[in-house]
Amino acid sequence: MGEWPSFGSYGFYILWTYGLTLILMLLEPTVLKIQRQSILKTVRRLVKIRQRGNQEAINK
Amino acid sequence: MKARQKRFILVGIGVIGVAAASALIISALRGNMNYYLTPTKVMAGEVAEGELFRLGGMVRKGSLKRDTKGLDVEFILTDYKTDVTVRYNGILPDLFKEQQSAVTKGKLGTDHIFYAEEVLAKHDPSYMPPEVKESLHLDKKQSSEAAPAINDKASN
Amino acid sequence: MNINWFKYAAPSSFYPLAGKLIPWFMGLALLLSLLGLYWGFFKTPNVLTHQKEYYRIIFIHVPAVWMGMWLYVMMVFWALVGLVFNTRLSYMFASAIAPTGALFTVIGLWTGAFWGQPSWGTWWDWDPRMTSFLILLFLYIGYMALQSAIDDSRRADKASAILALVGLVMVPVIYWSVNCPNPAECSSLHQESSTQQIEPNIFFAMMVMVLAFWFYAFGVVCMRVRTLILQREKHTQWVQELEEVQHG
Repeated sequence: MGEWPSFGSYGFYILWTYGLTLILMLLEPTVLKIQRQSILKTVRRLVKIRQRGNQEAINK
Repeated sequence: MKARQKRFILVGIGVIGVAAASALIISALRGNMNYYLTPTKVMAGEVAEGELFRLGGMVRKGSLKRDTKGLDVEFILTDYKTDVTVRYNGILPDLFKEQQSAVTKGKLGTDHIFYAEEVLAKHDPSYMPPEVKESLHLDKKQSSEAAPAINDKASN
Repeated sequence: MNINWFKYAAPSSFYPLAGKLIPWFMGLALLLSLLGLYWGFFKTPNVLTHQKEYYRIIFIHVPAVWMGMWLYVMMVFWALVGLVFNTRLSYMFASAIAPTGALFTVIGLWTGAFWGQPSWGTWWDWDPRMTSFLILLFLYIGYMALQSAIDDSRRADKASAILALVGLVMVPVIYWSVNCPNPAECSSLHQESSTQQIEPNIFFAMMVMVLAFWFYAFGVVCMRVRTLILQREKHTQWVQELEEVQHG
């Protein structure tokens, strides 16, 4: 106890388990961040369109 | 407000319905969806000849015989009432041990020997270091000496 | 405590609240998983009577499987709240939980396979627990598929809520598939779950990991709810006046 456990011949199984879990649990927030950036872009475009519309209404 | 109460009642009925369905499924599956059969059931003739099924039980102490040349093994699976001899050719899984549970898949021969195509080890529910397990085991033995150990171990 | 809960049922007030909470949830998840893994690898016995080193998969496997089941119950809960109160936010919660629940279910199945291979001798077998758990994954997938198949989000929410409720049937079956009162009536490759036969340090590490996964789920679900709010309310004024929209 207290030292790095020797996995014996089971390192393959343990590392695959922890490795895939780590990848998936990092992937999910990353994907969500990218999604958020893209939806923010869409909203900004919407804002621009609206502002342009307002500007045109004033110019008329 | 009325509409909300109505929806609440409808949803409540839905939840109750689902709970009832779940209970029905469980009671329907009881005894019907056994993953494996016990030696007693097999020897009582619950399976047709030549049928592929799973047999599970404890590996009897001292019954494991390995062929010195090949991968042939023979062992006895027991539920402490009935014994079935199992023959298998292949590598046994890691957790496979005498006095531990195992599940085998195969066919029962006319000679009442079970010819296994696959042998799986069953998980032990204990996650204890050997020293602790030992002391627990002693306590258990003292308290349940009179009772047969079937429910205690064979079921796991 | 006198909090006006309905205030937070409005997406416009939940959005900034969730934004403040996410770093806390994710931070706690990270700290707790570091603690849990440290405890699991360094404070636990190296030798067990019946298990070998691969028992350390338990620190991921059991918490992930529990999360897969609990998140399904949470998802149904929010879907039902949505059906009763017609609140937009609770539907968003339900659909935000689904992918995370599916993720944990996949992790549970995957780690189970990598545990089963060395110990039982097989990656997969149609054991009642594994079969019912695979169905749970299909339920998550079905829920998400139905929701994305219907264009109108209000209709999609309602239809998938009912599907989720029907699927709730599986949760007691999953539980029962290993823990039935009479072992002679159901047999499986899995062992019964018993907390008495687990060494205390192993149990502690497992529970810390359960907590870590809960906080991870809170964090990720909040993130997804925020994205859903932005998507569904992009035409509203409050979204368009958000700071991250104005200065980005």
